[in-house]
Amino acid sequence: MILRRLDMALALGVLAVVGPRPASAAAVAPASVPAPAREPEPGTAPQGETAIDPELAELLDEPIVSTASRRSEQVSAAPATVFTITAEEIRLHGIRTVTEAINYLGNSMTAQPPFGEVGARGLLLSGDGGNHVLVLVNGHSMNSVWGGWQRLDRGLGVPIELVERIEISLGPGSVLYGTSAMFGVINIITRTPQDHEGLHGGVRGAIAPPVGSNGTMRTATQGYRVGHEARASFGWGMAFRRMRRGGGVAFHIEAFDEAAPSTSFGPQAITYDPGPRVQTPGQWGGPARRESRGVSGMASLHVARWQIDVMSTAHLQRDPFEYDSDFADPRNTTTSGEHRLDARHRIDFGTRFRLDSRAHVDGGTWVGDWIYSDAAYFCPGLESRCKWRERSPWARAGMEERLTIDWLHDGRLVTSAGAEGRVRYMADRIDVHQLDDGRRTPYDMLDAERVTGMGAVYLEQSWWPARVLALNAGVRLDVDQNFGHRFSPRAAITVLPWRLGNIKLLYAEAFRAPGLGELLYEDSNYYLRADRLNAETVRSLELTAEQRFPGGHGSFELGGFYNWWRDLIAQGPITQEQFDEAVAEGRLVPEADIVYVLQYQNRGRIEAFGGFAALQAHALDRRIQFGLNVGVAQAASLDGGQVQRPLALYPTVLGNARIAWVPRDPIPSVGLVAYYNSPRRTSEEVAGAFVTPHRAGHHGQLRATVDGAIPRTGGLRYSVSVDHGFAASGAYMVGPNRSSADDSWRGELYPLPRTTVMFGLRFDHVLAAPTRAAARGGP
Amino acid sequence: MLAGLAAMLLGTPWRRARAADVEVPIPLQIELMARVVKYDRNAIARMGTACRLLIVRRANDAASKSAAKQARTELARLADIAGLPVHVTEHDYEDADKLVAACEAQGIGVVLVTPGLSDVVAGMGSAFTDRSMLTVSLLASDVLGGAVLGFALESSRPTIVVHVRQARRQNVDFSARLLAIAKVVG
Repeated sequence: MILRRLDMALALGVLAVVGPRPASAAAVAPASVPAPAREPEPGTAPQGETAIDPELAELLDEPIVSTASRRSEQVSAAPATVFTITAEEIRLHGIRTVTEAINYLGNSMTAQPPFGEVGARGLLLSGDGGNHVLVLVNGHSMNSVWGGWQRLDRGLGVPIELVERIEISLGPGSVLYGTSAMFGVINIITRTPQDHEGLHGGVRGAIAPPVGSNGTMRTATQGYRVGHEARASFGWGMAFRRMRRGGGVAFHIEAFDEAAPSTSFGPQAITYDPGPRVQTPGQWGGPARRESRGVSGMASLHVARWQIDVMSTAHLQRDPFEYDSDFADPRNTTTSGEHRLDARHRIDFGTRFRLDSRAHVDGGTWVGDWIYSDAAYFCPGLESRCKWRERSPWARAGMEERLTIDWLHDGRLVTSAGAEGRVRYMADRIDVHQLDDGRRTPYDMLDAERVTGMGAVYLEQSWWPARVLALNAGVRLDVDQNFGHRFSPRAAITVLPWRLGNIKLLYAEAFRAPGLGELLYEDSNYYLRADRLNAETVRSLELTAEQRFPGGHGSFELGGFYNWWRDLIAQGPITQEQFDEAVAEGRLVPEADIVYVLQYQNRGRIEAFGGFAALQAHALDRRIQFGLNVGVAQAASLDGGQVQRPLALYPTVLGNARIAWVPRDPIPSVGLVAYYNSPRRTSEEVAGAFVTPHRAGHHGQLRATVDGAIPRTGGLRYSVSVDHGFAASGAYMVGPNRSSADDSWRGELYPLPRTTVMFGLRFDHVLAAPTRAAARGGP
Repeated sequence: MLAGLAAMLLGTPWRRARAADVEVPIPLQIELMARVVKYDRNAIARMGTACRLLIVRRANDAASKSAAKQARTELARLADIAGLPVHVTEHDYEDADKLVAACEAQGIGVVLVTPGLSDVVAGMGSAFTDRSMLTVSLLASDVLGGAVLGFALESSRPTIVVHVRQARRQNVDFSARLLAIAKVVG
């Protein structure tokens, strides 16, 4: 009702937004053609004009998605629960990375700070490197060969300016995408060259004060340093309008250098030498911070039936407290370089058949370096300060063919069938040597290399037998040298029982193939290579209901789900029989201690259930935008007959809310967005490592953003954001002491940055005919 | 798969390359078009007693013919456009003059341009200048090329795209209220 009244006010001109009107279109109407009325600015309606037909507004308000069934469709027709995050929302709320987009704008998904590990629907599997969610860029898988890992921070390698929208399909999605699509599929869709036409660039900075051990801000003294971010980006695009089939070419590159503010760690008493950079000799702790820098870029060529994307990124990260390496030593780094080529092609046969092809080649190298002063403790067979280096080159090439048959020419009876094949190469080598003389450990370290292949076929059928009923069913068979084979079915029933409403009943399964790392990793002292691993699996049953608001003013959606997870891969102890056999075969050294020897095994069994609500609303031709997402979920581990609930790191209640005011330029837009996580258990608490463990408390994060055009600069814009976190620490424990037999030690939680001020300038100089969307600064 | 690879590498050569993807599903575009036409103040004067719509396709282009078929199927479901009965015919594009002649002969009020005609949209725009005609393109990028109306995907939602300059040339007079929610180019 309120929205209706706002629109009435708008129609009467009461709320006409002030500001200069740009010149009307330059063209002069031919004499023989009557001149039309002067066209108004978006959002202003002259008196006496006919209001927009509510049904037209409703059609224009419903998102179009393509991730759930790999073809464009209205979200109400998609056979999955799909949420979209748009480029406009990203800009209005000063979002810098996909990680931030998930927390501030997503639904039932979390990327937990400070590491950005992704969880969804009651479950976050720490240490999985994000391999339970499939990340795509224009449909191209970004998950690694080594363990299915992916990054959603700047290490992703896609400049945020290129993101047109992010589609998040929640729930199992292996029916079309294969491995890793267990939590869901995050499909990052970039702007086409036509949309990126012109010159684009920007600089961005941020500062964040240091944080003390109790989460309070402190001055930059005694080794505490202010956090910073410096980023520059530049892009260019050109459309091919005179070509018979259209197309375009575009690229965008970015370079960044960022460091979290120093935070205070420890002191924690330890039995080894943590290196010279600790604040108290012999005790772990002091000020330290994470740092990263990198260069990445993406180029796209769309010409005729071809779409070719090239992505490349080089990234360095300093994690000064990982793997018990020397505290705050800047030589503790991980570096990666990744290069991807993805070519897509489409051809139509007759009026019903369409063949989509995709070929891709990816490759890269990941290197991890860690310094240890206590060689006797960490570096087998060495005496002085040593370095561990793990180096993993990888490559992947594949091809996919997908045939779509639109039997009735109207999308009501569509069959899709596809086949996919991939060849993967990876190697992993560990080198341990002394820093002073380069002497290497006399023990055999990991030196593995493998080439494996996989193939898959899938079939999907969608059918609208009536205007109010849609059926969808599909199945995919994956055959993989890493684990064997796996069927992934999906079935969906969508009913449109009343105007603008839909109810969906969804069943889907997904799997994750064991990573080559999990299959190959071995260490003659501590790790026994897994002989064989099954794929992890998840089954999901889900019921959702959505009501779109009359007049195209948004939507409200409710849903509930139950998930069954099986065969989760985790490190576990080995039996005496396995130990004896491994020693006899030389896979373990005789002096290895069975108590410390681990092996990757299929051992986890989890059930999760919960629900979500999502509200999107807007008024005044989207000049006021509001959104609210709430997820409530809990998972229980049923491993070994013991029930553990809730599991670590995932908040039982999470949500976010946002509101934005988007006036006409040059008045700046104002966006306010916040997210909330309820208290979370640490992994150590779930493992029973403490008598009275610390638990992460309520976490709230708030960000205000002002974004506007600088008048008379031809496309220059500014953006200022202030971000504040209300929690002193996250849900991860840090430091070497992560267990205690009594109440004397409760562990140490990872402190979080509190306040960050961000500022940026960017320009978008559109060379071709300007559009009002561009003039508004929109995508 | 090998056949697919062969089709990719050796199939239709560049000169016969097919159309870019349609961003907004064609059935939805038809539904949107049917609702947008009535915001043209000159629509009734142009169309008279019936909405005669001509689908223009490329004869040797499967994507174009497929889009035409989809559009025709969806148009057949419409009871009316702007309150007028709908008559649909198809036309294989040869040149702009023959297209104009076909439109005049059949009393066409709306021309629907299928994908695969991007290189001739500008020519169509010139040919229809000073004639009362609404040209609608199923490929939004063709609107910048010279069509009057199209539907693009922006921020994941369908958006009306209007080429105002071309609209004036073709005696299309959209209401200010419609233009207020449209992406106006040209």
